[in-house]
Amino acid sequence: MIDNFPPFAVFYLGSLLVLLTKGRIRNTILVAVPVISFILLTNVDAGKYLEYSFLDYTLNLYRVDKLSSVFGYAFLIISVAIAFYGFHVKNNKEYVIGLIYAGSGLGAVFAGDLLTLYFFWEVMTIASTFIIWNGKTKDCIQAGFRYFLFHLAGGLILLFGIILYISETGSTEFVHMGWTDLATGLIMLGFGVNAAWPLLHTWLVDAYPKGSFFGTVMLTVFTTKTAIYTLARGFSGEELLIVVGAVMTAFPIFYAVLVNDLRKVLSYSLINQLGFMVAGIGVGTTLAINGAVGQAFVHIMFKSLLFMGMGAVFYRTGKINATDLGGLYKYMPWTTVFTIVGALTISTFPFFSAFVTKSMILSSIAHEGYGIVWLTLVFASAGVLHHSGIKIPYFAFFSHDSGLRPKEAPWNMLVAMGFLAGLNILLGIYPAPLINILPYEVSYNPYTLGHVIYQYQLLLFSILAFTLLLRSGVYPAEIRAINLDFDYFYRKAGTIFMKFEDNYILPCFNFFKKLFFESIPSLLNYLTKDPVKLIYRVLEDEPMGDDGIKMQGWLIGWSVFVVTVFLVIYLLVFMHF
Amino acid sequence: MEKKGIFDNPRNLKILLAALYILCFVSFAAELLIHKHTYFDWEKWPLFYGSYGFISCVMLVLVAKYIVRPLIMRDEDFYDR
Repeated sequence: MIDNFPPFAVFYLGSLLVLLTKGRIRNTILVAVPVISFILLTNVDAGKYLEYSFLDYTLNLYRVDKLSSVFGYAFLIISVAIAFYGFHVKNNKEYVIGLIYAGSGLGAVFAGDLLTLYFFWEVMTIASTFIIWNGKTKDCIQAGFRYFLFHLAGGLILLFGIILYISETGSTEFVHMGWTDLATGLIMLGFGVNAAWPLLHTWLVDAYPKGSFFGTVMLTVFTTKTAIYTLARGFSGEELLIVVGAVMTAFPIFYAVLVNDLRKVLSYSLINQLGFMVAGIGVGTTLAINGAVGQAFVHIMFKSLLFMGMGAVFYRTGKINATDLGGLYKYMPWTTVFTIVGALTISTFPFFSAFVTKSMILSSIAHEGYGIVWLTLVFASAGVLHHSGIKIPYFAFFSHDSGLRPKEAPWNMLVAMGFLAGLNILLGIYPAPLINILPYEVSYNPYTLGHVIYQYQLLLFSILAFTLLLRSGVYPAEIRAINLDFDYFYRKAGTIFMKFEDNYILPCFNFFKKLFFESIPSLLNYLTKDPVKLIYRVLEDEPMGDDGIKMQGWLIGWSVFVVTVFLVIYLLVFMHF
Repeated sequence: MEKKGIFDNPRNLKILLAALYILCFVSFAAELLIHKHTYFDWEKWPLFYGSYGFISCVMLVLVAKYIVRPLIMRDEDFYDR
């Protein structure tokens, strides 16, 4: 029985315990929660556990198979690293919410049916909104609201799709469905919102850069990767996803070149990475799915590492814009080294983990003969190198001397980053442990001589381009500015709606409010007051005493009665016509 | 506290740049020595990966700087006004 204890329950329990503890005990719990979950998960056999009945449907809280396990392992490993990363944070709040958030992510990937999945999906939305709000500036609060609205809308689309799907098929089980009709289309769109599909991606680049140094690291792991899991489970082989993925890889890199906030650069780069996964899922062959899922796994490791590096810089200097940073390599040498490892990994240098998985995706796309998509993805790979591989470390740690003289990051942050950096190198040199846990058994060797040489050639000449552009002064200087994204239209539409509401709808309501709650009651009051007593009072000049209060109560009663009468009349009229 | 970093000495930067140029050349030379297994015809062109990477990056930066930025850049308080 104890073996079947699902990870989300351990996390929820841990969240309660963290609420009650502090200091070392709290930190021990933070590490123990993912470690215990990990041990439980490795000991459980594939299968369905904790089935229960709800409204005549059989629901399944804990489904373990190869696909869900990969994401489970990744979430648990990163939870250990994140726990370390924030050891020195005294405030428990972010941890309490963070454990619920991570636990819900785990709940979602191990959910065997759509309703359970939806439940965890929405808990994640709420928890992540609170994590954004924890940034505490006015910007964070506003971005949090926008984020919440966006995901609420996405969640409703998903719920609508799920309800339609269940009523059509009679089954709640979450299995491969493919886009066949309205129901499955809505479900896919709901997943797409969380996977940051083009035009639906604005919440990500809006909210993620605004969290605290620590909250943002959590945010970047769970929401999007859960969405990748759901797409891989439900919509693998859906050709539309190949196009969507290719667009996702290409358009964010133009933004990433221009954006000043380095965590925003990483957010755009996150969409670009998700694009590779979405495209792989779209191809849908066993190699492609392995590549996409493996890419999600290593992406969690290296993207968190990069966000941790920038988080450490933000934590120590209070600045995150490229224009304010530079020259920090002398003062934060370890952070610099670990960030560079993350940068080399995301750029898919051979002998770093992402090289293995991204090669699988690219090979599978080439194998199926999608030439233009392949060219787009290789172009995007060069772009990744450019903005995440070079821009991030270069502007933060090298470039010009910014005059900042920060201390090195605290030891616990360095441990977390060092652990992830080591893991990325290890899985790059010795990928067998990762390949063994992937969903399908496919033999694939990324380390052929030709492939390694080609990859180096692509990367080295891209670095050459960056160097020449920079030294010739063509490379665009970073500028403090807003770079409009598609959310311009959402915001514009929102503003227009609010103006319309202020100018037309609210005055209308106000008129009715005045009419029914002020004008009519006061008229009735006047008419129903006891005229004799009124005259008597005026003549006697007697102050209003207890009697006055009673009279007021009596009048309110009358008003309610009259309004009720009105309502009844209104209803009768309404029902007749 | 002032610290001296390795790139405060311009010589080190020069060495790094020289290393980059040499590595670029080596990767090009190595390509000529191996037998190619490719999916697409264009992969067989000499220096395809190098030139594609180089041109991609230059195009990316030029398009971002001269086309995208003028279209999308606004003042920092654009949404607060």
